[in-house]
Amino acid sequence: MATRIGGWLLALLETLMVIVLIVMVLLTMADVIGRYFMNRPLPGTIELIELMLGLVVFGTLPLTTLGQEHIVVDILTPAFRGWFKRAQQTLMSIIGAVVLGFIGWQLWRRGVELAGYGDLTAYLKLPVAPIAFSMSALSFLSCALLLALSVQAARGTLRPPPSALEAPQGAPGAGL
Amino acid sequence: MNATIIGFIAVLVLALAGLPIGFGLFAVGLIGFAYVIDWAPALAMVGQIAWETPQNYGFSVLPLFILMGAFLNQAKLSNDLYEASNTFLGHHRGGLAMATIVACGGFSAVCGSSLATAATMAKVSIPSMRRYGYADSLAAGSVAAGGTLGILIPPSTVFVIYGILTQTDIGKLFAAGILPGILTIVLYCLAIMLVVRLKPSLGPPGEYSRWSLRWKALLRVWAVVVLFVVVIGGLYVGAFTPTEAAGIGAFGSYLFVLLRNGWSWHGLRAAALETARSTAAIFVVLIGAIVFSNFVNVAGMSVALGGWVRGLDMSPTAVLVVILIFYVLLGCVFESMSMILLTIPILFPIVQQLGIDPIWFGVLVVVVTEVGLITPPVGLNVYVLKSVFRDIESATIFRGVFPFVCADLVRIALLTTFPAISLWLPSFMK
Repeated sequence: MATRIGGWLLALLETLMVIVLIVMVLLTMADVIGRYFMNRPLPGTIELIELMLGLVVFGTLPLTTLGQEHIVVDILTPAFRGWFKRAQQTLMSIIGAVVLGFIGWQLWRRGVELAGYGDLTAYLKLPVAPIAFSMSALSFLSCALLLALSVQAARGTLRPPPSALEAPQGAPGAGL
Repeated sequence: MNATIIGFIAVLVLALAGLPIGFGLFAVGLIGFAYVIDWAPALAMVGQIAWETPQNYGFSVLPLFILMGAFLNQAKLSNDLYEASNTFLGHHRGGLAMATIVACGGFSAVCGSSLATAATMAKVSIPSMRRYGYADSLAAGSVAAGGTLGILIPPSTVFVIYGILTQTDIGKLFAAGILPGILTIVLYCLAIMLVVRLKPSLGPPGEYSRWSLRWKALLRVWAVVVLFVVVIGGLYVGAFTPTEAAGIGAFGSYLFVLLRNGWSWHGLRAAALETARSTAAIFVVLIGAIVFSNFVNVAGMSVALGGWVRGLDMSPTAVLVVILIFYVLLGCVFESMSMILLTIPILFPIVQQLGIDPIWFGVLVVVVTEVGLITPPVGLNVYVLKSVFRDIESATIFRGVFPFVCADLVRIALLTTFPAISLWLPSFMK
């Protein structure tokens, strides 16, 4: 049940990211067309693009983390075997989770700070704090997912990541 | 200074131990900053970077250009590009390999990624070369090498990152990559001609195509020409900002997908999701690298290194050569994006002090990181090929890449000796 709801949530997150990216493209187009053909650029485009970029990055973070798609150096790791491999995977996942936890914590602090000032964006007057809180929540979600992976790694049930080589198009680094 | 060296070693050890590069940079940068200054400012610093970096307007170029490449990939543009260059070159000895290089160049003009270029062209050109009895080494080598054009010929994700980190005009960097890109195509083709002259059995000639066929094939790649002219041309004449150019490119390439494949939510979703995933992966490294470079700055590494370099009393060219050699060595471990993120904040101030042109330096750095993409032990392009064609040994590909690495050395020498190759086109821009 829990996994089904989890899978459903991740699919929802995926679709949301797809929509944000499409809107980003359309917004840029509308801005250019407005400027060149109607002499009227779309106000606040830059602000919206910035917010959407932040949303895409942190919104996709749980997906990238769960899929073990972060960019790694894999010169030595393929040679690891047995208990050593399990220990390595567990330890690295925990370090990664700690880093994500730190990011989530600091973004939360920033959110509290921004909420205190009642900060709004310069042009569209959107409240900024909820964005910081969402980014923080998504970091904590990624942190939790990575901890779950570390438990799997310790048990030796962690599936190998779909390496950048298996699916060069969908993998991280495909954009490099 | 010592803290920085320990930091560097820690980053390297963690990376080799399999920790994602971005996490390692972040952890070492945070702890190092706290060690040099204190914990409270260190925490405030990482919070600031994690908050601001993903909301930097300049970086929105990245997902938009990646999306453009993803769309064009779905439109199977690579087939047309290969067909077109094949009708012109295929009947020469080694011609199919040369056609691969030219088609890679064409694909690079709409795609900003080396890995994507190599992976896409491999699926099209290797089966065809095998059919004509080409040696696997030459076939795979030409795709791996041709793929490196992806980040040199604009658009280029690596130039975007370099431009933002060093506050260099991205449009100028893109323009600077064009002539070196063409030079690379010529040098790679010369390398192929030399190889098949020495050993004709590696690349037998293919069929001759009549001119009517050639024109027909050429017409089918109109989309590449239109997109390149609008996107890169618009950027060149200053009609659009980089983000706008990338947005137009993504939109235009989607129109092309619609024309070719028709509407499909599944296809749209796949391309966008792939883009989001690449973007998130890049930003993790980006955030980590900025945290790390802040630590390096407070530890005084750049200043110390700069003073040391001045003390050596070497000419700027000599320093440049040392830096380039350093990049080739580092390229054996890191892939291009991480390498640039890690080194530019430290090396760029020195380069600036020496009065080296930032655009020229950018081109040189991209070119030397490309060499890292095809040399062992990491050679990402090689592994991408291996994943598409499992029956080709890595050793075979590395052997096939060798002539191209030699061509690369010639290219680096030419680009270092004649800065005008890189700087002529951008010199016309405002």
